[in-house]
Amino acid sequence: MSESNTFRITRRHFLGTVAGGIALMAAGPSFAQSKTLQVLSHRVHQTSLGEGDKDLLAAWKQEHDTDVVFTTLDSNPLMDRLFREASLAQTDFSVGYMVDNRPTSDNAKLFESLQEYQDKDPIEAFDDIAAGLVRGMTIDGRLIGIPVRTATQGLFYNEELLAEAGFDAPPTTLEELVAQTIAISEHGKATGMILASDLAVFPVMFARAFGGDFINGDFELLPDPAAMQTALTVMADMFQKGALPRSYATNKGEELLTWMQQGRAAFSVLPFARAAQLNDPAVSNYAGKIKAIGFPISETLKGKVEMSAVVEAWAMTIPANAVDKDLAWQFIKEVSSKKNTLGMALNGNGPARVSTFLEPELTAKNALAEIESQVLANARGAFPPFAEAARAQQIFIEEVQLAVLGRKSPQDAVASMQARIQPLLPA
Amino acid sequence: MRVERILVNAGKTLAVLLLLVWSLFPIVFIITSSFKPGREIFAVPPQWFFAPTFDHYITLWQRWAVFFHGLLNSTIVTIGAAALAVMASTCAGYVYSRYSSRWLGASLLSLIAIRLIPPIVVTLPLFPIVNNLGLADTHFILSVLYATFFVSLGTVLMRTFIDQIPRELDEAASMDGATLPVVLWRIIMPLAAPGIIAVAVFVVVFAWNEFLFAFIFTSTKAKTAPLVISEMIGSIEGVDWGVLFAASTIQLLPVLIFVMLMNRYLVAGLTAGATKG
Amino acid sequence: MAQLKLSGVKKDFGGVEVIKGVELDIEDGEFVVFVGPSGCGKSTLLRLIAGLEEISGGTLEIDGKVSNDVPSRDRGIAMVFQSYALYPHLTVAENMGFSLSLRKTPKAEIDKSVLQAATILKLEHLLDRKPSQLSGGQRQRVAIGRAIVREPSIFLFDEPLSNLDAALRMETRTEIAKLHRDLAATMIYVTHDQVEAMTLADKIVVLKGGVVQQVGAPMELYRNPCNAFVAGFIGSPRMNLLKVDVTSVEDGKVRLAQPGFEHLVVPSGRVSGPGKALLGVRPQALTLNPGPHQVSGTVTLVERMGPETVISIRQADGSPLLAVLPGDVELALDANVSFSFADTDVRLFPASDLEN
Repeated sequence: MSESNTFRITRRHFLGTVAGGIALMAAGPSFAQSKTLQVLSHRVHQTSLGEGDKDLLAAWKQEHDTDVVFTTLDSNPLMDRLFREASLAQTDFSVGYMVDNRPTSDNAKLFESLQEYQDKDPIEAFDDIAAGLVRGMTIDGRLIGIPVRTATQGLFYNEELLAEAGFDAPPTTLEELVAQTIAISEHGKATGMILASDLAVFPVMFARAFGGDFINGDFELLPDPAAMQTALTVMADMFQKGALPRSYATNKGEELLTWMQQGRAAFSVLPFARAAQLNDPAVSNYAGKIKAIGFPISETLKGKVEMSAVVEAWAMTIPANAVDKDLAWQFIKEVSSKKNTLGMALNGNGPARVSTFLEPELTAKNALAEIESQVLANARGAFPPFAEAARAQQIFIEEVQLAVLGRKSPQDAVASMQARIQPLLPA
Repeated sequence: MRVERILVNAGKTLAVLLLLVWSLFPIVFIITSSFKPGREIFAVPPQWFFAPTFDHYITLWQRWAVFFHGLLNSTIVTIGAAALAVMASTCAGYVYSRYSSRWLGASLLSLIAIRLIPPIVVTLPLFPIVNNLGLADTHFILSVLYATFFVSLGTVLMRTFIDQIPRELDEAASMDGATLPVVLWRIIMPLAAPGIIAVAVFVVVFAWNEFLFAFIFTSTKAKTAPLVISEMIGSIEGVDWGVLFAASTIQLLPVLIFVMLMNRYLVAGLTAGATKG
Repeated sequence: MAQLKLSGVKKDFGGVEVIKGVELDIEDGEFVVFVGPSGCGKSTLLRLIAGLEEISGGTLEIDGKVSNDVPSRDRGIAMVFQSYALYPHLTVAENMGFSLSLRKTPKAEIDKSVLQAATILKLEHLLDRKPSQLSGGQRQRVAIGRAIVREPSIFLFDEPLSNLDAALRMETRTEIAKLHRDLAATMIYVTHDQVEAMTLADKIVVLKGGVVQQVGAPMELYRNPCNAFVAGFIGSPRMNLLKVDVTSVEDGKVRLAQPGFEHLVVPSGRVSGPGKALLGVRPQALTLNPGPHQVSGTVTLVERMGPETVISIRQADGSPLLAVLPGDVELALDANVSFSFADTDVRLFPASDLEN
């Protein structure tokens, strides 16, 4: 039976496109299940589930007589495609992975509310999934996504470069961090810190270290303008003293890893999961010497409030126009299980479940798991999703750059942010 | 005078050298980097001498099998697009060359005008249509779209070439017993070969590297190599540069070789019309 | 081999009529030459017969069958173009065998036919060359060879010799004439050169402004041109047309008022009453011997060719006149000279012949 099905599918493709048929024959039909679940995701989501005999879903596929076909795209194209698919009359994709800064009120309406599914056929220990992440996927009171992957920002440092400049321990406050970066730059072997100027993450982290923020969860712009001003003053000072590279204005997100691997900078802010690549002897000159801690809070706030680092999370959604929503929920439920969350974590996925970080299997493999879980506990997105978020971020970055490069006073930059970004926020 | 001439020559040489460095550097960088051990790719100062390694290619093969499937798709789509564009441009170019009327003139103008519309404007409304027709994620739709985009330029180019083929040749052939398709196939196409090659090169380079249409209209079955490469660049786990450069090298080479092989005809083709044959 | 019949054939290009109703019969095996000045429509008429242009009105019959809408390839016609139109990417042999290869003739047969035609045209040693490697004369012969291989019932030639130099032109002309004898096919030949027309044609068709002026055997046209245009066009150098005043027309005879022509009595032809007329005298009909009818003037040019001498004079009223005298004649420039001619050597045309 499965044979004839395979044949029929092959032939349909053949009719769809003559050339396509040739390719398909060359590639060979790789499935023999009677049902197919189409998933739209980033490749990372696919690989973290394992392939071949390490396939975490092998048993589930067997049980549900279903094959899972992933269509993978890079993050931004993926989101564009997901929303476009969801706006069609019908889509072949039953599950779509969504990053937490994209579900605006309008976008969220295109996706199935998952609470009903959860009530009927609940995910194992749902409360274990970080509450902040679940809140991030609850738009206008509707839960539209089940968090599945996190990337929490940590402070990475190069032990050897610190030691050479006379520091035998990483900083415990933001002020210490600044002092260390300046000292390391003065020492002359490396730049104190490498940050990318094209992402909001970094100034947001600095602002939060002083108790401020860019836009908080209640859509308040600059809830503490003085804190943002202080953050910009500190960053401008670092730039002026050479603790940030001269090339700051052109440094991009992709470069951070290389700078750290090459030992050109002593500190950077990166997701905890990057520890593996930073310490891989094949690509890193400082394998085993690059460590991570939570980004430190200012000494004035230390012990009073917890630092809230930036986290980016992905969640699994079901487009409202999907064909097989029940099967999609079965898939989401299976992927979200404790067992699979651990399995994915062992494959390098940042877990969404708090308990997973404490699994001995993971802590044995990943020394940072415990630190990461602590940071994640207080982490939240860089800013909440809204229609004009991309433009708001662009203006923010622009003003930050001007302030850091010393072309505008931090005060003016903050005032300008307020004036320019406020009109973009949802009413 | 003499000194001046030497200076001018030196200036020219320098300009050519700069141009060469400017255009070749990225290619050389990508290719050499793909053979460098990971740690040395971005070493400062750059490492000019290194022990070449095939590790990145091996990793690419093991971890990104989908890339090779993408290459196969790219090849099918590219050949399809080139064949379609060449056929359509030759036929249309023939009509514009051999017949004239007010409507034909207007239609040629509209062909060119359509080309001025940004592709993205066309793609978005097409998306639901293509989906409803069941053509999404097929090589066919990509080939057709790529060909469509070059038919206007191709037609104008082919018309220029066909204009240079004396009309008497068509007439002689039709007196010799050839029907119109035979005239096109046996007389026009061989004589317009440089034009056909020029059109083919344009389409091949475009189709091989195209991202936007492929991104919008494919999922898995017809997914082309540039999409896979974009996933490597934007990977949310951090970029594995060595593997990315290995993939870029593999992606680059076929077109580079094709263009180099066709270069002779291409130059002849693009300058045709400047002097009468 | 075929007969052609054109009845009221018309052609207009965007409202401009270039062929204005041609009636013409061409017999099987005849060699017909279309002749006329450039723009007279002779090439267009040929292209209508070839099927390269659509006929706007009237009918074209080939062997009794109306063929207006028959495509070129089915008319049994081969054409030799002025530009030769050889396929540049094919060898001489491939060019010549092209029509047969389209008919899916077996290779051996094509080779045989090509070789046969090549032998006739002395092209055997050039069969593997490309047209670009050939001289103009060789290309011309390949073009003819290509037509021969087709074994058409009608050959069309469109000014085939105009791109050749004088010596080659004469040689090729002879070859075409021989070809016509050997193949006995119907041939239609377009030229603006009346010498080619005279030497090749069984029948000449003189065209002007899309209208057939006269159809006839070369000598018939030479001797009895029906109007001043044909008279001027056929014969070399061209016939002198003297402006004369007709005083009376009686019994088909005309009397003229011009001094020197008082005693001349000529057949009236198409002249019906007193008034302006043209008197045609061939340059060869003039002689220095005294006679009753005289034309005179001052010598402006003497061209001594050896066997004959061409003398240009300017008459008293300023109009030019040409005389061709046998042998070598010495005449001084600006000398006054008088020529006489016989009654029987002149033709009278209405003055309106040269209008429009």
